[in-house]
Amino acid sequence: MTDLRSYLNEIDNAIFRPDQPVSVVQEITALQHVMAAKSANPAIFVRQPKLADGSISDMPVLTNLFASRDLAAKALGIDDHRESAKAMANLSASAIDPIVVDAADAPVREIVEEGAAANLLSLPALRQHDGDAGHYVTCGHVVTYDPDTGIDNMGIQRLWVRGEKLLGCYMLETSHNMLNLRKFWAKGEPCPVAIWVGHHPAVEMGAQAKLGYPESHWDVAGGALGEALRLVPSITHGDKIMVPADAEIVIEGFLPPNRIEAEGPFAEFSGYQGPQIPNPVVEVTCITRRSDAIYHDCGSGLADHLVPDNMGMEGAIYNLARQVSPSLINVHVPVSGRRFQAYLQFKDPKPGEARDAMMAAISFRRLKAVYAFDDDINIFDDREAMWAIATRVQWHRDLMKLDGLTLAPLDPSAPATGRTITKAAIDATLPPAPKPGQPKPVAPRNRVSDDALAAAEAVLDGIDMTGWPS
Amino acid sequence: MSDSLFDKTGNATWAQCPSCDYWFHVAPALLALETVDLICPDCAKPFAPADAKALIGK
Ligand SMILES: [Zn+2]
Repeated sequence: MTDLRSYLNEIDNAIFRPDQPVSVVQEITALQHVMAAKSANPAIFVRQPKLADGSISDMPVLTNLFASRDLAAKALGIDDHRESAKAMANLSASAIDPIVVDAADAPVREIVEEGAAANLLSLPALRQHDGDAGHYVTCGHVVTYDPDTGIDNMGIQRLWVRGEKLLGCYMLETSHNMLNLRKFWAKGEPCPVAIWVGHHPAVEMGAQAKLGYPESHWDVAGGALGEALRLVPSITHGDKIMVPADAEIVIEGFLPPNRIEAEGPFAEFSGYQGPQIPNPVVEVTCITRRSDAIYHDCGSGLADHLVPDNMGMEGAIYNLARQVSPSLINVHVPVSGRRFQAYLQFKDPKPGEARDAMMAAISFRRLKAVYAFDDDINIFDDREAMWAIATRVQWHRDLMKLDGLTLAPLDPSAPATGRTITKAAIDATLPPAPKPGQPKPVAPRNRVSDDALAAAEAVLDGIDMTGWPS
Repeated sequence: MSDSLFDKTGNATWAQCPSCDYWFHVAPALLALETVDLICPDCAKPFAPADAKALIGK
């Protein structure tokens, strides 16, 4: 059985476990901020989460699980995180159908709290940032289904814990869960929902693959895991909504028709606060969990939040751009650009090809800018990307602006009115060589020999550099 | 509001809680509904948009 705890055993030396109580009110998130500033990205396992009332929760909190690209890629079985674009692009091809197991064989059913017993306040949900509306479930995979086809959908959505049995639920108008909800509401019916928290990170990343509508995520999540996902019917909705048998926690309920309430503000992926907005609510009917459940939190706006989704974007963008550009070799959606920028990398693109590829990539809705780089630039190092932009771009020639494209959601710089924006494509590739094998018609870059580099590495081998000027 | 494409005008709308004076970030889409109460993130008081102590950017 492959689940969150089997994964935690695998990465035991990559987990920071503070001994002392740490408050769910901003302190756990502050740990993530402080570590990120020091470029340290271990998973964080808080044995003693201190709740808002000062008591200590019995349920530990796990966060920062996805902050390291290296760890996130390895969870998917990718040895090198720089290969994630191609791996994520092919995720759908390796789908594995889920299997259904007995409730008696489902760890997530060890404890079942229905009706009056169901209490969201028993979860150590974090109040992450200053100005957040309250405590949020940040790693809840929200499952609904299309009433026309019965096909389920799944997406991570922020969930505001508003009481023992009430959640505010952020749903983008264009999300597939919102399409399902609208269909139920059009019939005057509540939309059934189940929300699962905590599983092997490959399942969580596979669940976020960018799919069509209606299209189930279970088989892609199983493919990411490398084995069939074990599912069990939910208590409230039976086999209409299945949930992972090996999850840590499942919250079930309904989104009552046309009940729209204020939700947020909430510190978002952009690094800025998302405003209070109108959203549906979930009325909770049942919570099931493991007897020793681990509560999985995701630090909003931190690498923990961005890395898995950005890797999914890399796969989707690779698929878009590769269709028009065989010389495209890689894609990186850097955490520094949140979800607004993508770096495309080419090996000897033909004249115009980098631009063609950027035109295809820029159609990805969240992007505001795409950049084209050569294969000598490490697109996983922003310093090299900025160097290439500074030294290979002539702005009259290499900057393309495209007007009237779809607005990126939650862009803090978006126009106050209007529904479209101008996007940019920047070609930072070098001009091609006159003939294959000849040097490109540009000045060569500074370099030292491989022998000299190896000698320098040998000099520094084993030297402790902590305390040296940064 | 300027007509210039090049003036920076921002896009954030703010409401001030009538109970505790806390300023918070609200989407125009929520204010436009009028029938849905805002909820103060600081003191949790629900209030109609029309009852906000102040609104900026609406
Ligand atoms: Zn207030």
